[in-house]
Amino acid sequence: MVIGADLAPDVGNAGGIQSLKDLGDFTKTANPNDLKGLTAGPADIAGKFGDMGASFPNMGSASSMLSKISVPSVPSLDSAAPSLSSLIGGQSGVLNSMTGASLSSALSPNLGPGGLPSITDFAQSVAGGPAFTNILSGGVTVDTIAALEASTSKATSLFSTAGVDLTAPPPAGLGSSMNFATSLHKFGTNSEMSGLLSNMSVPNSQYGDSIKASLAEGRNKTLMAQNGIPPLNFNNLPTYTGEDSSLNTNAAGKLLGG
Amino acid sequence: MGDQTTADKIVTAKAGSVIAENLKLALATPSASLTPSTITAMVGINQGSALQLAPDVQNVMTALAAKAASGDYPANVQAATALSNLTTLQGKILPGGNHAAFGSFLNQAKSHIGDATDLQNTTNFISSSKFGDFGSGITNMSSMLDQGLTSKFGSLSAASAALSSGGSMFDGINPKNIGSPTGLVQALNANKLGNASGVNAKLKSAGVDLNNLEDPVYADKIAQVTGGIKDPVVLNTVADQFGQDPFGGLPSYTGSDGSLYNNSAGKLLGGA
Repeated sequence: MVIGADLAPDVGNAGGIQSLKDLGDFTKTANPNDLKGLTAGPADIAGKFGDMGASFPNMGSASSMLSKISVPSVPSLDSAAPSLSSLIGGQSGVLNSMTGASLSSALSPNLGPGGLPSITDFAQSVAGGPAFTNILSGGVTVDTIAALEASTSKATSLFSTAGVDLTAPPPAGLGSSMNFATSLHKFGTNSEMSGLLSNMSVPNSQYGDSIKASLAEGRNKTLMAQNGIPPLNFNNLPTYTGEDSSLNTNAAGKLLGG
Repeated sequence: MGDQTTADKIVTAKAGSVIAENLKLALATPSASLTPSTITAMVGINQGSALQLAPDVQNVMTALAAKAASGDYPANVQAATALSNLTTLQGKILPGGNHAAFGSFLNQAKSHIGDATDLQNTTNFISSSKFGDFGSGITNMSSMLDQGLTSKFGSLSAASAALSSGGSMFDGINPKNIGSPTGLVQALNANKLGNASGVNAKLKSAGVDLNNLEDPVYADKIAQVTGGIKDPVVLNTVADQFGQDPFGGLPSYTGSDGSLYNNSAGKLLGGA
């Protein structure tokens, strides 16, 4: 006896499973008691997951994820944010104070993007910048002195804003010196930073030259890496274990320490 | 070139190891930032002999000192004050003999600028956006926490139960097809049931391209074909294959499995 849809019972959930299609329809396969509160149909659920870019290893994973997602009640936060623009707008004053943007308007020329401080704003007192150029080009006047004073004051405030304690410098040593030296490659990729440090390098000195060389090396390394060229390697050299004495006299041998 | 000798081994910085023109290239991984130049710089930094006040700064300090020593009031007083304040700050930023400290301060300043830039970029984007821009169901801060899932589904636990009820049917199926006839057919074919169930043949007869099931033009036909397959043996086989509870959607059933196979609901699922 072939039994089909004609005998399907009316169980209150659209008649139960009547066809192959129904086996893919959770409104037919799930216990309606378990679906209480569900306001979305299969297409809505699939559409939402599709829009979210979901990629489930399996449906058990999806089900598990849904059962573990937590959404605490945060009515005060909801009230504080009737819109995203009002939320950010209400906090912009504090945010600008934290970033240092609030220091930019009335002081030295604003060099950073979007009203933010630049590295020159921090380091102008030792590396030079607009306030010094103004004096050199316009002479020492009340106005140019005031601008210099403003830049000095601004730099002091910026270091404080950034949480940098100038009264507690790290002691000179291997770690701190190496940290600075190995940062030069990174600094070299920033034209502003590179310019400031080049200005400060001691002239006619191997150490001053090494600052400029390291900055250029870092910049070049990045450029070459973007074109598939790796940097020169100065570690992990292979150890020579052979007996070829010619190694001591040729270039390869010397490279290996011969 | 004759046989390769160890002397032929040369070192480059390329990663990996290759043989090129009989040269053994013993290759190492790219180094960090310790190079002859940075090592020399490190020595100079440690000795406090690599950096100095920039020439512009030195020249301005000389000019300020001259002005301070002049009788040009009040500029002379202001120059003296400015020079004093400047020197004080310089002594902190670039402590004599400790250029490593300057590097530390620079790194911290650069990090601050990076953080501030990231923050500003993000807040600019957020403040010019609306909740709904981030997806359906997102209407406030709360709904952002789950990307609008609760708002959209009504109940996450219910949605979880719904997905579980399909067993493994939609495992590996594009989420956008979950719960749809298209997803069902994809699942059948992924489990070699497309032909056995007769679905593929009927879809072909209906003009559906089996290699392009997700084309929206076929959605209605796929639903029609799968809705027309009512053979209880097929339904039972498919339910069993995907580990579905065949009675999950039949809440009126409260007996044992055996009894179900003797009533109409059970017969629908293949009972005698």
